[in-house]
Amino acid sequence: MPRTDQNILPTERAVRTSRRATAFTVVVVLACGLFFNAGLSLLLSARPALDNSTYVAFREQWQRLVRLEEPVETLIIGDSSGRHGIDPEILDDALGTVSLNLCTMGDAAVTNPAWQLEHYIQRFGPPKRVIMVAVHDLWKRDIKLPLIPVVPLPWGYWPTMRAPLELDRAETRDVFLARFVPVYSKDQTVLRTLMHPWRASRLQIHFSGQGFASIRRSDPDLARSDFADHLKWSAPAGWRISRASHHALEAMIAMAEEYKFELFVANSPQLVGMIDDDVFGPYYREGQEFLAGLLSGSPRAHLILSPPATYPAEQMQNSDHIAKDVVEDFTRRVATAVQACEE
Amino acid sequence: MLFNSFVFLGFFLLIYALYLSSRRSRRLQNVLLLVASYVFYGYWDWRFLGLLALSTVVDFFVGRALHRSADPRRRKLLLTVSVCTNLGILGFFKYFDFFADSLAALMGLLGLQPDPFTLGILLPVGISFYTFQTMSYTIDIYRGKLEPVDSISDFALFVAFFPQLVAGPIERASNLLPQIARPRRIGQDEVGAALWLILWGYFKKVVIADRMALIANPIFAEHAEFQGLELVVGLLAFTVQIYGDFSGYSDIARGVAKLMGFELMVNFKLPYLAINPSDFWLRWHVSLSSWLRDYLYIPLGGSRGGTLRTQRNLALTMLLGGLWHGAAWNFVIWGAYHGTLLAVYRWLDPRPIHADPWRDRSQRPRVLFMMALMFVFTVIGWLIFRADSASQIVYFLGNMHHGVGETGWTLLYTWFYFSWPLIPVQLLQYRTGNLLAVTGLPTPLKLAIYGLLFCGIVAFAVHESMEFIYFQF
Repeated sequence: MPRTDQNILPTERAVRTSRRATAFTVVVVLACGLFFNAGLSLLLSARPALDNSTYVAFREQWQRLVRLEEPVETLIIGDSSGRHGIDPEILDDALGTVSLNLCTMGDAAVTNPAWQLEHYIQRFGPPKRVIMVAVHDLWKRDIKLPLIPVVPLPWGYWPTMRAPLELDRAETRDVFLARFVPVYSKDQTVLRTLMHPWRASRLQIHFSGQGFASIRRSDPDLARSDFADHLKWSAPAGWRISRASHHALEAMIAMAEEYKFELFVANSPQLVGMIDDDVFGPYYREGQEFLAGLLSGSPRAHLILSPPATYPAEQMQNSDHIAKDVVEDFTRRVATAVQACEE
Repeated sequence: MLFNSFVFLGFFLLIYALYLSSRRSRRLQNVLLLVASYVFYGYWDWRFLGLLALSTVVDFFVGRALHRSADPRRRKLLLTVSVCTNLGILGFFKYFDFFADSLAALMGLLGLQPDPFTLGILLPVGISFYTFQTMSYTIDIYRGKLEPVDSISDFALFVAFFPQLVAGPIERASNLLPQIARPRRIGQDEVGAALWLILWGYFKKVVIADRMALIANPIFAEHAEFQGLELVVGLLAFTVQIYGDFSGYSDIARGVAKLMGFELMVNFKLPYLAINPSDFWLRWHVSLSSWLRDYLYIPLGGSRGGTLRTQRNLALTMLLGGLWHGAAWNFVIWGAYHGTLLAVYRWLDPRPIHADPWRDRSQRPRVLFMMALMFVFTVIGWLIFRADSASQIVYFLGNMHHGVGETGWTLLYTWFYFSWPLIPVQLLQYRTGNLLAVTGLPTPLKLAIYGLLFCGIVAFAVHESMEFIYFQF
């Protein structure tokens, strides 16, 4: 067995260099970091499926609004129940209108729909009507911080909106990193992309040109278990509305009055039997009473689909997302309710 | 304050700016570094600054008294005071609960039922490092190898110098104190080397080691859920993790010190390319292994006095070396394991190689085989080091060859994905015999490597700061 000795151990022998060469090295290294960051920004914007479906849906809907060239008569905003529930083509047929579905998801709370509406009005003036679709537990939520940098409005927009948002220093820093330094803030996406580049290719949500995304298959088991979760987590705590959601809804009502358009707050579709439940029913009705009271303060604001449109588990993907088979039914119910109010 | 935190980045940039601006006064620089070192240490827990100060004051005055005294009995007494103070601090804070627990367990085995008595003592960070460092000062003065310093602030800086305070390298007074006592010159060659050390050190820590931890930790935490290749990868991940973590820290520490004109000792010399146990300990945690050699193994008699005495000295040194790593039996067994490897290796009395085996083509197959064999021994050692229990070791050894497991290939891919950069860099270092070989590459290639490392750090760093493994020692 050979034995080594210290003669062959590696040592450190510094290589001759100059101040200029060292400075050049530092500059090049930092530049590499900047280029890498810029490259990732481009890659992430060109291939949205690199990230999760929530982020994709949110980004897609905002991009739809930003790219919009012609005004529409009916704007549909709200959460994912509206994104999967109201097909603008059907609504256009029923109401004889031109509509656009900009619904995103529950994590965007009520604040984001208010921002979308405000931005739309700034660009095109007021639409004829706005349909705001909401699941019962949307009202208690606050917009999730990671979504704020995705909104394609100028930096620092959030306290200037009619539904303003206050961020502390740490939150502002996180938003900055998320918006401008994806190499740091989107580390999980970057990691997945670089480790498994062959996997990141499919778009997970398919939207129609008017912003509708259909759910192809129902999932009765998920619909029932989702309801059980609502019973467990939402209903026992009682219905409530967050401060931000309250401000956002008030801002929407104020915009409706100022710009003279009709605002319809539509309840999401629901699994049949939910409102008859001894625990869920009272919780749900508490929310309805509050919303009805708030909206009744303005002649332009209306609560529709109360009680909600309900469907059996076999036609739902979860307790408030309908599958494509009943999209036409739900959309027509919305249209009918809108027409009834307008008449 | 962790090297891999933004707080440290801000701290260092501030201190470095002040340090450079006060370069005309060495004394001012030393005071600045001393204050910075105490702030750095106190950032964890200011209460333990007292221990640092106690160790400093005792050894400073013992060192002076030793130098003045010619009376052998008094000199011995003074040395005893220094060693007892340092080992007393170390023993109380690090080992009291361990020995109390072990004693209670032993009495339980004998049928006695003692009341459990532990103090739940919090372990001061880096205590094993600075106590060993200060002890070397008084021992060297006792041996007549070193003159004591006149300035207590210089000595305090030697004890508390922040780049290496909490995880080494364990510096010798004969190396660091003269650098503290004289004006430093920061040469461009050193700055160039420092940049590489810092960049490579961070990469090894925040990319390689921390990503390896994400593989190894769940496997060691729930080992029964894994089998076959999964266990192998878990163990290999820890093998890479501990190297990346500790050598990364050492590189950052040495790089930061270099930027300020200090030269700290090299702590890692490509340990996983060692060809035998003796070689391994010339390459792994060199500052500790050489400390143990100079202050324990040689005073015990070293290799003088026959085979049995040598084996005993080796075994004792390695046992205590194992115990130095932590107050737990697996560290003792790990030390015993390495002591056994060394003893067996010496017993086989191999023919030494005094030339670079790599340059002799006929030696290559044998060298490669020896490297692979030593690597396997090292990995088994890490299993003992990392395991929570004897049953975990048995489970690993008994199940590592059983299939792939559900996630085996994925884990292997992840392991390779994050650890492969070690291979080309270390091969280059090995072939050139120069740990700074990358700095001598053609400029475009060097810049490409630096750029990739930097982008890798930004993109792949685990964002939640993970403590360095050796902080707990």
